[in-house]
Amino acid sequence: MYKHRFVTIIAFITFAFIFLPLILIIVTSFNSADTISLPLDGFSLQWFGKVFKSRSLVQSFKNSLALALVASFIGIFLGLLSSIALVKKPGKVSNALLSIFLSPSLIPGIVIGYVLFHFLVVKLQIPLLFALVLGHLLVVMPYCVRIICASLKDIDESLEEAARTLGCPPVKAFFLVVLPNLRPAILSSFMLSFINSFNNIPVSMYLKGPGMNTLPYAMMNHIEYNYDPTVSALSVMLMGMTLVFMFIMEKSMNSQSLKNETVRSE
Amino acid sequence: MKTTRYFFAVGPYLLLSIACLLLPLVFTILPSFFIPSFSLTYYTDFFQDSFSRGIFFRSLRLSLITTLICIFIGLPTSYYISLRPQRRRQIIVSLIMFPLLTDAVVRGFAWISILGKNGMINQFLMNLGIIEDPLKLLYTDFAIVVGSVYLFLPVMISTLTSVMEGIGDDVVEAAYSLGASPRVTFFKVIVPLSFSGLLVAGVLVFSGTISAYTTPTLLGGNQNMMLASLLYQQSNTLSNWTTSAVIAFIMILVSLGVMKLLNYLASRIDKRGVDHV
Amino acid sequence: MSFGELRDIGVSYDKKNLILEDLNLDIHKGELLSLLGPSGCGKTTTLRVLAGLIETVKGTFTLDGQDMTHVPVHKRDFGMVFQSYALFPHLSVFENIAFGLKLRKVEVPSVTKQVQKIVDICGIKGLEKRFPKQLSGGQRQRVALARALVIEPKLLLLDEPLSNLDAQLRVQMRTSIKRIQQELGISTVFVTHDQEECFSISDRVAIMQKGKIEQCDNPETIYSNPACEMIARFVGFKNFFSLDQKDLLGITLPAKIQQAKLVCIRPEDIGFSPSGTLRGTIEVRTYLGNSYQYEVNTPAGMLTVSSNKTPACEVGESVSMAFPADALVFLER
Ligand SMILES: Nc1ncnc2c1ncn2[C@@H]1O[C@H](COP(=O)(O)OP(=O)(O)O)[C@@H](O)[C@H]1O
Ligand SMILES: [Mg+2]
Repeated sequence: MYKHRFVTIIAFITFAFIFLPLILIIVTSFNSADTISLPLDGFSLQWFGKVFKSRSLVQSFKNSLALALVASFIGIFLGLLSSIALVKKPGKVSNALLSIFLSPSLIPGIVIGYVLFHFLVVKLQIPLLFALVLGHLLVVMPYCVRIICASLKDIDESLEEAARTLGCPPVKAFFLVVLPNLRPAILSSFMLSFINSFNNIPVSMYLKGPGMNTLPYAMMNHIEYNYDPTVSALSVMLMGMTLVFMFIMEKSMNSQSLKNETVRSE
Repeated sequence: MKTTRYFFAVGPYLLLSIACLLLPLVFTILPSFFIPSFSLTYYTDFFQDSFSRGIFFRSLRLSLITTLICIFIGLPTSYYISLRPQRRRQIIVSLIMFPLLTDAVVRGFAWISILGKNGMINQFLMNLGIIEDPLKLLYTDFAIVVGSVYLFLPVMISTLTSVMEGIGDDVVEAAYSLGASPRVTFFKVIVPLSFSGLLVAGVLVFSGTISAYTTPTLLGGNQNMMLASLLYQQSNTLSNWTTSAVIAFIMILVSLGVMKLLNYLASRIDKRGVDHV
Repeated sequence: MSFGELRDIGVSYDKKNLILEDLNLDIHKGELLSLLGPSGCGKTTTLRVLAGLIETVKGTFTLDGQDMTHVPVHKRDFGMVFQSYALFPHLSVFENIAFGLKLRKVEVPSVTKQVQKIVDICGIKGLEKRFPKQLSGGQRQRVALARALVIEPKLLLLDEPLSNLDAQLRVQMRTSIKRIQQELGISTVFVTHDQEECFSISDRVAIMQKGKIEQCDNPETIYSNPACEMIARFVGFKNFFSLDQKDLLGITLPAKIQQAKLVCIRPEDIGFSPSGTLRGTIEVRTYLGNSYQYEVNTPAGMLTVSSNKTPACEVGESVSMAFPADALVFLER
């Protein structure tokens, strides 16, 4: 095999570019100095403590967590329902519906946030919290529908028929045979939904009410006013969460399908 | 499946799509075409105003630059990854995907710490005595591009890597056996064969960059706005509904337009590829 | 009255075109009945009608005197083996086989015993803890069979069960299936498009074409008395004549034949003899190992004749041929 010196050099520069900033954050979060700087002063966990002392960060973390969980659970339940319908009854109508359900991932997030705000909140005067949940449902919908639909199409139709010939009524056949085989798809759409909802800024930004701030937006505010390693520490914790998610996903599915999902929480 | 059951099952999401996407879009954007009869005045106004026109073209320019940089860095990196043994390749790709799953604020924050006035780069250069006053790196177009490349490079790399994995060793070996150097092989064989993947990933990067809010806001500041920050400013701070609608529609048009165009090109190229094989 | 009866069955997938049209089929108790026909002729559809997996637009299906037409699949108690095997990927071999028993609320010890028994019969002992992914094609096939058999089905339905196996395994498996079927005395409908496979193991064969059963009989009868030209060609008849040519051939219509359109004969049944009734010239000779096959140009058209007469005839030689009356088959279609 030939050696590609040029390719290798660029690749290593790229890896450095991708990982150094994250490593920098991790390192400085354990630094005792109160600015983000190198060389390191000394080891300290004070910034992690600061995170828990900041009421706005803790509260918004709880909000984001609750929101992401609610959106993901409802999203997956509805995603399952519609995917079953779309796959069981293929045709023009189903194809059209599928593209409608996937469309929120094609429209810029900030536009979605704005039109939701304008229509639901300004025009219809729907309570903010309700609008926020609806907005996040819209954010997770494409992930739930796409992944579950694809997996459902992959499952051999005769599996369900086999169960029925063995004496299983139709609904029970779905629960005994189809659902267990959908588990990886459900798990990965849960992860992607959760991450996208949790990290979402544009929709939350418009629809957050007083006292209902979400974590990413609270972090943005925090950075504006106090620039210290507290955010580094928080970032490290969030990275830990992402890592756990990635690990679970990696275990439950092939990374191929993960790779094909683009995360657009921006 | 019975029709009633079918609509019961797709109903919730259909309702959500109509009530929270279609109606809001129509309700918000339609008025921007009527004053009170049909007119494009708001749009011509938008482009006649040098401030908003500037932001529009900056957004296009920065998104294009970001996409090109992602391509130039992404191509060799993906090729490098695709040449690794399977297990190592999977690990590298997972690692590369990691930033993508990390909060955009975290990623933006990292670059603030690097590019800021007291950031790593300035500290480093000043400690070495190369410069005396800190360089203005943050809150520039440069910072936006760096942040956007950082944001979307993983998308480019993972797409290209899976395309390049699909290029058989036999093709590469055939090129070598015909006397092609590694460089010629890369540019004449690998790059052309990855072209459709390049377009697909290019669309993702371009439309992602042009619709991003967090990164340009954190790294560009108020002076270097992009369309998304302009939209937020117009709608939230100034409650300027028509201008907001105009921006929203332009953003949809640009990102969907680019997507359609490049996807069309990609499918054309894919077909050509199949015909030749 | 037969054990199972399909009467005037009509099936349509799109409410316009009938895939099955007035299909009639009898299934005898304890027999292995094959459905044979080219791909797309409606074999799977017929099997799915029996299983209850598709609605019919007309007709009835009775089994053992009971009307099954509208009984839902899960209440039919039939065993079915799918072409793709349809093993449940998330369940082990044991759990796959026990699936039907558990639904019937069989006690756990009894489940284990019954699974053990069927595992023995199907020759998959020792694989119980594996998952479908860890099995070879032949093993999957046996598990699918065991899963269908363990519920002691009234009817066993097999849809091209051997088509995904390689040639050697196919022969081995078909013998196994036949042995198990005989051992359990289970009425079986076996779908295939492979003629040899079908004739070798079936008690009776139903030959299908374009959604209709052309002939349903035991293999020997079909072999010697095909019902139509399609089947005749299928089972090795090569020489076909219209009845106008009967004087040319020097044959007479037996009294019991009322009406016929065609007459046919196998290559090996035509004899070369000086007292033959039709003369012709040999144009091509091919060697088949134990005999020669000749293409003979005659006033009645080109004939295919095989003969082990020695010395062999030469190309260009003029021969006369005889058509033994008992080897002639008259066809109405
Ligand atoms: N689900 C379906 N929808 C529409 N047409 C079908 C469907 N399944 C089978 N067909 C049609 O019915 C005919 C018979 O199919 P099938 O019973 O599967 O044939 P076989 O099993 O003999 O190959 C074929 O022409 C096929 O195209
Ligand atoms: Mg078939």
